[in-house]
Amino acid sequence: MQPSLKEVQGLLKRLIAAPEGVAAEESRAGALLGHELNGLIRGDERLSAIERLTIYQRSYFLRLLECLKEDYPAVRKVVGDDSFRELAAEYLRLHPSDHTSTFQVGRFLPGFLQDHRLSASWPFLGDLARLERALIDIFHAPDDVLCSADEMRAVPPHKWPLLRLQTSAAATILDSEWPLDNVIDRLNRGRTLAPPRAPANLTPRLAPK
Amino acid sequence: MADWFEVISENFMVGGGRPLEVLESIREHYPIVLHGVSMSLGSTDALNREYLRDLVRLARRFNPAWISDHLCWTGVGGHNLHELLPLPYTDEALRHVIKRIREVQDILGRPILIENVSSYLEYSISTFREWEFLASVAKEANCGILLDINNIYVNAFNHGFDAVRYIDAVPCDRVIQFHLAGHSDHGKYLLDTHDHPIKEQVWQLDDHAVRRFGLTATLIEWDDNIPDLGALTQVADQACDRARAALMRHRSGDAAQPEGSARPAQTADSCA
Repeated sequence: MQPSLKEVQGLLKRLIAAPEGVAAEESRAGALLGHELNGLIRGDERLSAIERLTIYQRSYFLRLLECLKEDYPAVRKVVGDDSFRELAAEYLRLHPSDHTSTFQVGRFLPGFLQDHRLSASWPFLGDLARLERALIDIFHAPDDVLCSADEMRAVPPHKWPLLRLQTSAAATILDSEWPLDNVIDRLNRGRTLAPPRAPANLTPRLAPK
Repeated sequence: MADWFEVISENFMVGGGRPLEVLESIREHYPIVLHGVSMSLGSTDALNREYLRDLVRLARRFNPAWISDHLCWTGVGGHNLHELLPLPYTDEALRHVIKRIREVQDILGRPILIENVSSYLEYSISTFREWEFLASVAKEANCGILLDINNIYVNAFNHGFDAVRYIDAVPCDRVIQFHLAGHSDHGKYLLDTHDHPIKEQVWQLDDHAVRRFGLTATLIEWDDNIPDLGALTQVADQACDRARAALMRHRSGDAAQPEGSARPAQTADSCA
Protein backbone atom coordinates (compact mmCIF):
# COMPACT_ATOMS: atom_id res chain seq x y z
CA MET A 1 0.00 0.00 0.00
CA GLN A 2 1.18 3.50 -0.79
CA PRO A 3 2.43 5.35 2.30
CA SER A 4 0.49 8.42 3.41
CA LEU A 5 2.01 11.91 3.27
CA LYS A 6 2.36 11.83 7.05
CA GLU A 7 4.27 8.53 6.90
CA VAL A 8 6.53 9.81 4.11
CA GLN A 9 7.37 12.94 6.08
CA GLY A 10 7.93 11.03 9.32
CA LEU A 11 10.34 8.62 7.62
CA LEU A 12 12.25 11.37 5.82
CA LYS A 13 12.57 13.48 8.93
CA ARG A 14 14.00 10.50 10.77
CA LEU A 15 16.53 9.77 8.03
CA ILE A 16 17.61 13.38 7.50
CA ALA A 17 18.09 14.06 11.22
CA ALA A 18 19.85 10.71 11.75
CA PRO A 19 23.08 11.35 13.61
CA GLU A 20 24.77 8.19 12.31
CA GLY A 21 23.89 8.75 8.69
CA VAL A 22 21.00 7.86 6.40
CA ALA A 23 22.11 4.30 5.63
CA ALA A 24 22.39 3.21 9.28
CA GLU A 25 19.06 4.76 10.15
CA GLU A 26 17.38 3.37 7.06
CA SER A 27 18.09 -0.22 8.02
CA ARG A 28 16.38 0.44 11.35
CA ALA A 29 13.53 2.69 10.18
CA GLY A 30 12.79 0.77 6.98
CA ALA A 31 12.13 -2.43 8.87
CA LEU A 32 10.05 -0.51 11.39
CA LEU A 33 7.78 1.23 8.93
CA GLY A 34 7.62 -1.51 6.35
CA HIS A 35 8.41 0.82 3.48
CA GLU A 36 11.35 0.20 1.23
CA LEU A 37 13.28 3.42 0.74
CA ASN A 38 13.96 2.54 -2.88
CA GLY A 39 10.23 2.22 -3.44
CA LEU A 40 9.73 5.71 -2.08
CA ILE A 41 12.71 7.76 -3.29
CA ARG A 42 13.85 7.45 -6.86
CA GLY A 43 17.47 6.46 -7.29
CA ASP A 44 19.29 6.45 -10.62
CA GLU A 45 22.70 5.66 -12.10
CA ARG A 46 24.04 8.98 -10.79
CA LEU A 47 22.80 8.89 -7.21
CA SER A 48 21.05 6.24 -5.14
CA ALA A 49 18.09 7.06 -2.89
CA ILE A 50 20.38 6.99 0.13
CA GLU A 51 22.90 9.33 -1.52
CA ARG A 52 20.12 11.75 -2.39
CA LEU A 53 18.87 11.78 1.18
CA THR A 54 22.42 12.19 2.43
CA ILE A 55 22.64 15.54 0.60
CA TYR A 56 19.78 16.72 2.82
CA GLN A 57 21.21 15.09 5.92
CA ARG A 58 24.54 16.91 5.52
CA SER A 59 22.89 20.20 4.74
CA TYR A 60 20.62 19.82 7.79
CA PHE A 61 23.52 19.30 10.18
CA LEU A 62 25.80 21.93 8.62
CA ARG A 63 23.13 24.61 8.68
CA LEU A 64 22.41 24.08 12.37
CA LEU A 65 26.10 23.71 13.20
CA GLU A 66 26.63 27.14 11.59
CA CYS A 67 23.83 28.59 13.75
CA LEU A 68 25.42 27.22 16.91
CA LYS A 69 28.86 28.47 15.84
CA GLU A 70 27.46 31.94 15.27
CA ASP A 71 25.61 31.96 18.57
CA TYR A 72 28.43 30.55 20.71
CA PRO A 73 31.74 31.81 19.26
CA ALA A 74 33.52 31.86 22.64
CA VAL A 75 32.44 28.34 23.60
CA ARG A 76 33.69 27.15 20.21
CA LYS A 77 37.04 28.87 20.67
CA VAL A 78 37.48 27.30 24.09
CA VAL A 79 36.75 23.70 23.09
CA GLY A 80 38.06 23.86 19.50
CA ASP A 81 36.33 23.08 16.19
CA ASP A 82 36.32 19.28 16.45
CA SER A 83 34.88 19.11 19.95
CA PHE A 84 32.35 21.79 19.07
CA ARG A 85 31.16 19.75 16.11
CA GLU A 86 30.71 16.68 18.32
CA LEU A 87 28.98 18.80 20.92
CA ALA A 88 26.60 20.16 18.27
CA ALA A 89 25.73 16.64 17.06
CA GLU A 90 25.01 15.44 20.61
CA TYR A 91 23.03 18.57 21.40
CA LEU A 92 20.87 18.42 18.27
CA ARG A 93 20.06 14.77 18.94
CA LEU A 94 18.62 15.73 22.33
CA HIS A 95 17.27 19.16 21.37
CA PRO A 96 16.18 19.11 17.73
CA SER A 97 14.87 22.49 16.61
CA ASP A 98 11.22 22.95 17.50
CA HIS A 99 11.01 26.59 16.45
CA THR A 100 10.48 28.46 13.20
CA SER A 101 13.47 30.70 13.89
CA THR A 102 17.08 29.56 13.76
CA PHE A 103 17.79 32.09 16.55
CA GLN A 104 16.13 29.58 18.89
CA VAL A 105 18.08 26.50 17.80
CA GLY A 106 20.76 26.86 20.47
CA ARG A 107 18.67 28.12 23.36
CA PHE A 108 19.11 24.98 25.48
CA LEU A 109 22.87 24.74 24.99
CA PRO A 110 23.83 26.45 28.29
CA GLY A 111 21.82 23.91 30.30
CA PHE A 112 23.06 21.06 28.12
CA LEU A 113 26.67 22.09 28.78
CA GLN A 114 26.17 22.28 32.53
CA ASP A 115 26.30 18.49 32.86
CA HIS A 116 28.37 17.79 29.77
CA ARG A 117 31.77 16.07 30.00
CA LEU A 118 33.42 19.12 28.39
CA SER A 119 32.50 21.03 31.54
CA ALA A 120 34.76 18.67 33.50
CA SER A 121 37.69 20.16 31.58
CA TRP A 122 36.34 23.70 31.45
CA PRO A 123 34.00 24.16 34.40
CA PHE A 124 33.08 27.70 33.35
CA LEU A 125 31.72 26.52 29.98
CA GLY A 126 28.04 26.46 31.01
CA ASP A 127 28.28 30.00 32.36
CA LEU A 128 30.10 31.19 29.25
CA ALA A 129 27.29 29.76 27.12
CA ARG A 130 24.72 31.48 29.35
CA LEU A 131 26.50 34.77 28.72
CA GLU A 132 26.57 34.24 24.94
CA ARG A 133 22.91 33.23 24.97
CA ALA A 134 22.03 36.35 26.95
CA LEU A 135 23.68 38.51 24.29
CA ILE A 136 21.39 37.02 21.62
CA ASP A 137 18.28 37.49 23.75
CA ILE A 138 19.29 41.06 24.55
CA PHE A 139 19.89 41.82 20.88
CA HIS A 140 16.32 40.81 20.02
CA ALA A 141 14.63 42.01 23.22
CA PRO A 142 11.54 44.24 22.95
CA ASP A 143 12.31 47.95 22.78
CA ASP A 144 11.26 49.63 26.01
CA VAL A 145 9.80 53.06 26.38
CA LEU A 146 12.44 54.83 28.44
CA CYS A 147 11.75 57.45 31.04
CA SER A 148 13.11 60.83 29.95
CA ALA A 149 15.01 63.26 32.17
CA ASP A 150 12.10 65.73 31.94
CA GLU A 151 9.64 63.08 33.10
CA MET A 152 11.95 62.29 36.02
CA ARG A 153 12.15 65.98 36.94
CA ALA A 154 8.39 66.24 36.88
CA VAL A 155 8.03 63.76 39.74
CA PRO A 156 7.58 65.77 42.97
CA PRO A 157 10.15 64.93 45.69
CA HIS A 158 7.53 63.59 48.12
CA LYS A 159 6.74 60.83 45.60
CA TRP A 160 10.34 59.73 45.19
CA PRO A 161 10.16 57.04 47.88
CA LEU A 162 7.35 55.41 45.85
CA LEU A 163 9.38 55.20 42.64
CA ARG A 164 10.55 51.76 41.65
CA LEU A 165 13.41 51.16 39.24
CA GLN A 166 12.71 48.63 36.55
CA THR A 167 15.33 47.11 34.33
CA SER A 168 14.79 47.20 30.60
CA ALA A 169 13.72 43.98 28.87
CA ALA A 170 17.13 44.11 27.22
CA ALA A 171 18.94 43.92 30.57
CA THR A 172 19.93 40.58 32.02
CA ILE A 173 21.87 39.99 35.20
CA LEU A 174 24.03 36.89 35.18
CA ASP A 175 25.53 35.49 38.32
CA SER A 176 28.74 33.56 37.82
CA GLU A 177 31.62 32.60 40.03
CA TRP A 178 33.91 32.57 36.99
CA PRO A 179 35.75 35.57 35.55
CA LEU A 180 33.94 35.33 32.23
CA ASP A 181 35.09 38.78 31.15
CA ASN A 182 38.69 37.52 31.37
CA VAL A 183 37.80 34.49 29.30
CA ILE A 184 36.18 36.58 26.56
CA ASP A 185 39.03 39.07 26.68
CA ARG A 186 41.69 36.36 26.29
CA LEU A 187 39.77 34.72 23.44
CA ASN A 188 39.34 38.05 21.69
CA ARG A 189 43.08 38.58 21.87
CA GLY A 190 43.52 35.28 20.05
CA ARG A 191 44.76 33.27 23.02
CA THR A 192 43.67 29.76 23.79
CA LEU A 193 42.62 28.47 27.16
CA ALA A 194 44.18 25.35 28.58
CA PRO A 195 41.80 23.30 30.69
CA PRO A 196 42.34 23.96 34.40
CA ARG A 197 44.47 21.16 35.87
CA ALA A 198 42.07 20.17 38.61
CA PRO A 199 38.48 20.16 37.37
CA ALA A 200 37.10 20.20 40.90
CA ASN A 201 39.33 23.04 41.94
CA LEU A 202 37.65 25.05 44.65
CA THR A 203 39.33 28.27 43.62
CA PRO A 204 37.93 29.14 40.24
CA ARG A 205 40.64 30.60 38.08
CA LEU A 206 41.95 30.31 34.60
CA ALA A 207 44.96 28.17 33.93
CA PRO A 208 48.09 30.13 33.05
CA LYS A 209 48.82 30.13 29.37
CA MET B 1 20.58 50.35 -8.24
CA ALA B 2 18.09 48.49 -6.06
CA ASP B 3 14.40 49.35 -6.56
CA TRP B 4 13.07 47.28 -3.69
CA PHE B 5 14.19 44.81 -1.03
CA GLU B 6 13.26 41.32 0.03
CA VAL B 7 13.86 40.24 3.62
CA ILE B 8 13.59 36.89 5.35
CA SER B 9 10.48 37.26 7.52
CA GLU B 10 11.74 35.05 10.36
CA ASN B 11 14.78 37.28 10.96
CA PHE B 12 12.43 40.12 11.86
CA MET B 13 9.90 38.17 13.91
CA VAL B 14 11.64 39.24 17.12
CA GLY B 15 10.71 41.44 20.07
CA GLY B 16 12.74 44.47 19.07
CA GLY B 17 16.26 45.69 18.47
CA ARG B 18 18.38 47.09 15.71
CA PRO B 19 17.41 44.87 12.74
CA LEU B 20 13.81 46.05 13.01
CA GLU B 21 15.00 49.64 13.19
CA VAL B 22 17.11 49.17 10.07
CA LEU B 23 14.14 47.66 8.27
CA GLU B 24 12.01 50.65 9.30
CA SER B 25 14.49 53.02 7.69
CA ILE B 26 14.65 50.91 4.50
CA ARG B 27 10.86 50.83 4.38
CA GLU B 28 10.74 54.63 4.46
CA HIS B 29 12.47 54.73 1.08
CA TYR B 30 11.80 51.43 -0.67
CA PRO B 31 9.05 48.85 -1.12
CA ILE B 32 9.82 45.60 0.66
CA VAL B 33 8.54 42.05 0.34
CA LEU B 34 8.52 39.48 3.13
CA HIS B 35 9.95 36.10 2.17
CA GLY B 36 9.48 33.27 4.67
CA VAL B 37 11.27 29.96 5.08
CA SER B 38 9.29 28.35 7.92
CA MET B 39 5.61 28.36 6.99
CA SER B 40 5.98 24.68 6.11
CA LEU B 41 2.95 24.77 3.84
CA GLY B 42 3.28 21.11 2.91
CA SER B 43 3.77 19.67 6.40
CA THR B 44 1.22 17.29 7.89
CA ASP B 45 1.62 19.06 11.25
CA ALA B 46 -1.07 21.60 12.11
CA LEU B 47 -0.40 25.12 10.81
CA ASN B 48 1.74 27.06 13.25
CA ARG B 49 -0.74 29.68 14.49
CA GLU B 50 1.81 31.49 16.62
CA TYR B 51 4.08 31.91 13.59
CA LEU B 52 1.21 33.20 11.46
CA ARG B 53 0.16 35.61 14.20
CA ASP B 54 3.71 37.02 14.28
CA LEU B 55 3.73 37.26 10.49
CA VAL B 56 0.44 39.18 10.52
CA ARG B 57 1.96 41.56 13.05
CA LEU B 58 5.10 42.02 10.94
CA ALA B 59 3.03 42.61 7.80
CA ARG B 60 0.92 45.20 9.61
CA ARG B 61 4.02 47.07 10.68
CA PHE B 62 5.86 47.04 7.35
CA ASN B 63 3.05 46.73 4.82
CA PRO B 64 5.01 44.58 2.32
CA ALA B 65 4.15 44.61 -1.38
CA TRP B 66 3.62 40.86 -1.00
CA ILE B 67 4.40 37.90 1.23
CA SER B 68 5.96 34.69 -0.06
CA ASP B 69 7.04 31.27 1.18
CA HIS B 70 7.95 27.94 -0.38
CA LEU B 71 6.00 25.06 -1.88
CA CYS B 72 7.60 22.55 0.46
CA TRP B 73 7.61 21.17 3.98
CA THR B 74 10.32 21.98 6.51
CA GLY B 75 9.56 19.57 9.33
CA VAL B 76 7.03 17.29 10.98
CA GLY B 77 6.18 16.03 14.47
CA GLY B 78 7.09 19.40 15.94
CA HIS B 79 10.67 19.07 14.67
CA ASN B 80 11.84 21.82 12.32
CA LEU B 81 14.60 20.61 10.02
CA HIS B 82 15.09 24.12 8.56
CA GLU B 83 15.35 22.45 5.12
CA LEU B 84 13.05 23.18 2.18
CA LEU B 85 11.94 19.62 1.45
CA PRO B 86 10.01 18.73 -1.70
CA LEU B 87 6.57 17.16 -1.50
CA PRO B 88 5.61 13.97 -3.28
CA TYR B 89 3.53 15.17 -6.23
CA THR B 90 0.43 13.13 -5.41
CA ASP B 91 -3.30 13.86 -5.18
CA GLU B 92 -3.11 13.68 -1.40
CA ALA B 93 -0.27 16.24 -1.19
CA LEU B 94 -2.01 18.47 -3.74
CA ARG B 95 -5.28 18.59 -1.77
CA HIS B 96 -3.39 19.04 1.48
CA VAL B 97 -1.24 21.97 0.38
CA ILE B 98 -4.08 23.76 -1.42
CA LYS B 99 -6.19 23.63 1.75
CA ARG B 100 -3.31 24.99 3.83
CA ILE B 101 -2.50 27.86 1.47
CA ARG B 102 -6.15 28.89 1.50
CA GLU B 103 -6.14 28.87 5.29
CA VAL B 104 -2.95 30.93 5.43
CA GLN B 105 -4.37 33.44 2.96
CA ASP B 106 -7.52 33.76 5.09
CA ILE B 107 -5.41 34.46 8.16
CA LEU B 108 -3.13 36.95 6.38
CA GLY B 109 -6.07 38.54 4.58
CA ARG B 110 -4.20 38.56 1.26
CA PRO B 111 -2.95 36.13 -1.36
CA ILE B 112 0.59 34.83 -0.94
CA LEU B 113 3.24 33.79 -3.47
CA ILE B 114 4.63 30.27 -3.40
CA GLU B 115 8.15 29.54 -4.58
CA ASN B 116 9.35 26.40 -6.35
CA VAL B 117 12.23 24.86 -4.35
CA SER B 118 15.47 23.28 -5.50
CA SER B 119 15.51 19.56 -4.78
CA TYR B 120 17.84 16.60 -4.72
CA LEU B 121 15.31 13.80 -4.60
CA GLU B 122 12.12 12.70 -6.31
CA TYR B 123 9.47 10.36 -4.94
CA SER B 124 8.55 7.18 -6.79
CA ILE B 125 4.95 7.68 -5.66
CA SER B 126 4.60 11.03 -7.49
CA THR B 127 1.90 11.05 -10.13
CA PHE B 128 2.44 14.63 -11.38
CA ARG B 129 5.51 16.39 -12.69
CA GLU B 130 6.74 19.25 -10.56
CA TRP B 131 5.48 21.95 -12.95
CA GLU B 132 2.03 20.36 -13.15
CA PHE B 133 1.86 20.28 -9.37
CA LEU B 134 2.97 23.93 -9.05
CA ALA B 135 0.46 25.08 -11.67
CA SER B 136 -2.43 23.16 -10.05
CA VAL B 137 -1.61 24.45 -6.57
CA ALA B 138 -1.43 28.07 -7.73
CA LYS B 139 -4.69 27.79 -9.63
CA GLU B 140 -6.68 25.90 -7.00
CA ALA B 141 -5.35 27.83 -4.00
CA ASN B 142 -5.65 31.09 -5.92
CA CYS B 143 -2.16 32.24 -5.01
CA GLY B 144 0.74 33.81 -6.89
CA ILE B 145 4.03 32.22 -7.91
CA LEU B 146 7.54 33.33 -7.06
CA LEU B 147 9.38 31.54 -9.83
CA ASP B 148 12.97 30.68 -8.95
CA ILE B 149 14.72 30.33 -12.30
CA ASN B 150 17.88 28.90 -10.79
CA ASN B 151 15.89 26.24 -8.91
CA ILE B 152 14.28 25.13 -12.17
CA TYR B 153 17.72 24.83 -13.75
CA VAL B 154 19.11 22.93 -10.74
CA ASN B 155 16.14 20.53 -10.66
CA ALA B 156 16.24 20.00 -14.43
CA PHE B 157 19.83 18.81 -14.04
CA ASN B 158 19.24 16.82 -10.83
CA HIS B 159 16.15 15.04 -12.12
CA GLY B 160 16.81 15.05 -15.84
CA PHE B 161 13.99 17.11 -17.30
CA ASP B 162 13.80 20.00 -19.75
CA ALA B 163 13.84 23.34 -17.91
CA VAL B 164 12.15 25.13 -20.82
CA ARG B 165 9.27 22.67 -20.75
CA TYR B 166 8.83 23.50 -17.04
CA ILE B 167 8.70 27.26 -17.66
CA ASP B 168 6.30 26.86 -20.55
CA ALA B 169 3.88 24.97 -18.29
CA VAL B 170 3.74 27.64 -15.58
CA PRO B 171 0.57 29.73 -15.86
CA CYS B 172 1.41 33.27 -16.98
CA ASP B 173 -1.18 35.03 -14.86
CA ARG B 174 0.26 33.67 -11.61
CA VAL B 175 3.92 34.69 -11.78
CA ILE B 176 4.62 37.83 -9.75
CA GLN B 177 8.32 37.58 -8.95
CA PHE B 178 11.54 35.83 -10.04
CA HIS B 179 14.50 34.66 -8.03
CA LEU B 180 17.93 34.35 -9.63
CA ALA B 181 20.93 32.85 -7.87
CA GLY B 182 24.22 31.04 -8.30
CA HIS B 183 24.58 27.32 -7.60
CA SER B 184 27.52 24.94 -7.11
CA ASP B 185 28.37 22.05 -9.40
CA HIS B 186 29.02 18.84 -7.43
CA GLY B 187 29.49 16.73 -10.54
CA LYS B 188 26.66 14.29 -9.99
CA TYR B 189 24.30 17.01 -8.87
CA LEU B 190 23.91 20.78 -8.61
CA LEU B 191 23.55 22.34 -5.17
CA ASP B 192 21.57 25.53 -4.69
CA THR B 193 24.12 27.39 -2.56
CA HIS B 194 23.39 31.08 -3.31
CA ASP B 195 27.11 31.82 -3.00
CA HIS B 196 28.23 32.07 -6.64
CA PRO B 197 27.64 34.35 -9.60
CA ILE B 198 24.64 33.37 -11.72
CA LYS B 199 25.64 30.81 -14.36
CA GLU B 200 25.24 31.71 -18.05
CA GLN B 201 22.75 28.86 -18.61
CA VAL B 202 20.55 30.26 -15.83
CA TRP B 203 20.69 33.73 -17.44
CA GLN B 204 19.57 32.14 -20.71
CA LEU B 205 16.70 30.41 -18.93
CA ASP B 206 15.81 33.76 -17.38
CA ASP B 207 15.71 35.29 -20.89
CA HIS B 208 13.24 32.59 -21.84
CA ALA B 209 11.15 33.22 -18.71
CA VAL B 210 11.05 36.95 -19.51
CA ARG B 211 9.82 36.17 -23.00
CA ARG B 212 6.99 34.16 -21.48
CA PHE B 213 6.08 36.23 -18.42
CA GLY B 214 7.19 39.73 -19.41
CA LEU B 215 9.25 42.07 -17.24
CA THR B 216 8.99 40.63 -13.74
CA ALA B 217 10.30 41.88 -10.38
CA THR B 218 13.56 39.96 -9.98
CA LEU B 219 15.59 39.39 -6.85
CA ILE B 220 19.20 38.21 -6.86
CA GLU B 221 19.69 35.78 -3.96
CA TRP B 222 23.17 35.85 -2.47
CA ASP B 223 23.49 34.41 1.07
CA ASP B 224 27.18 33.57 1.38
CA ASN B 225 30.47 34.94 -0.01
CA ILE B 226 28.44 38.08 -0.58
CA PRO B 227 30.12 40.60 -2.92
CA ASP B 228 30.09 44.29 -2.04
CA LEU B 229 26.89 46.23 -2.60
CA GLY B 230 28.16 47.85 -5.80
CA ALA B 231 28.87 44.48 -7.41
CA LEU B 232 25.53 43.12 -6.22
CA THR B 233 23.46 45.99 -7.57
CA GLN B 234 25.35 45.60 -10.85
CA VAL B 235 23.97 42.06 -11.11
CA ALA B 236 20.48 43.41 -10.41
CA ASP B 237 20.99 46.01 -13.16
CA GLN B 238 22.24 43.28 -15.46
CA ALA B 239 19.03 41.32 -14.82
CA CYS B 240 16.97 44.38 -15.82
CA ASP B 241 19.04 45.12 -18.92
CA ARG B 242 19.04 41.50 -20.05
CA ALA B 243 15.31 41.19 -19.53
CA ARG B 244 14.62 44.31 -21.62
CA ALA B 245 16.97 43.12 -24.35
CA ALA B 246 15.43 39.62 -24.40
CA LEU B 247 11.98 41.14 -24.68
CA MET B 248 13.03 43.49 -27.49
CA ARG B 249 14.56 40.62 -29.44
CA HIS B 250 11.49 38.51 -28.82
CA ARG B 251 9.13 41.21 -30.04
CA SER B 252 11.18 41.68 -33.17
CA GLY B 253 10.92 37.92 -33.75
CA ASP B 254 14.53 37.05 -33.02
CA ALA B 255 14.33 34.86 -29.92
CA ALA B 256 17.51 33.10 -28.91
CA GLN B 257 17.09 29.56 -27.71
CA PRO B 258 18.37 28.48 -24.29
CA GLU B 259 21.14 25.92 -24.38
CA GLY B 260 19.97 22.34 -24.10
CA SER B 261 16.39 23.22 -24.84
CA ALA B 262 14.40 20.74 -26.81
CA ARG B 263 11.78 23.23 -27.89
CA PRO B 264 12.32 26.36 -29.85
CA ALA B 265 11.35 29.29 -27.66
CA GLN B 266 9.28 30.93 -30.40
CA THR B 267 6.66 28.20 -30.21
CA ALA B 268 6.02 28.69 -26.49
CA ASP B 269 2.65 30.30 -25.89
CA SER B 270 4.19 33.47 -24.58
CA CYS B 271 2.18 35.92 -22.55
CA ALA B 272 4.83 38.63 -22.48
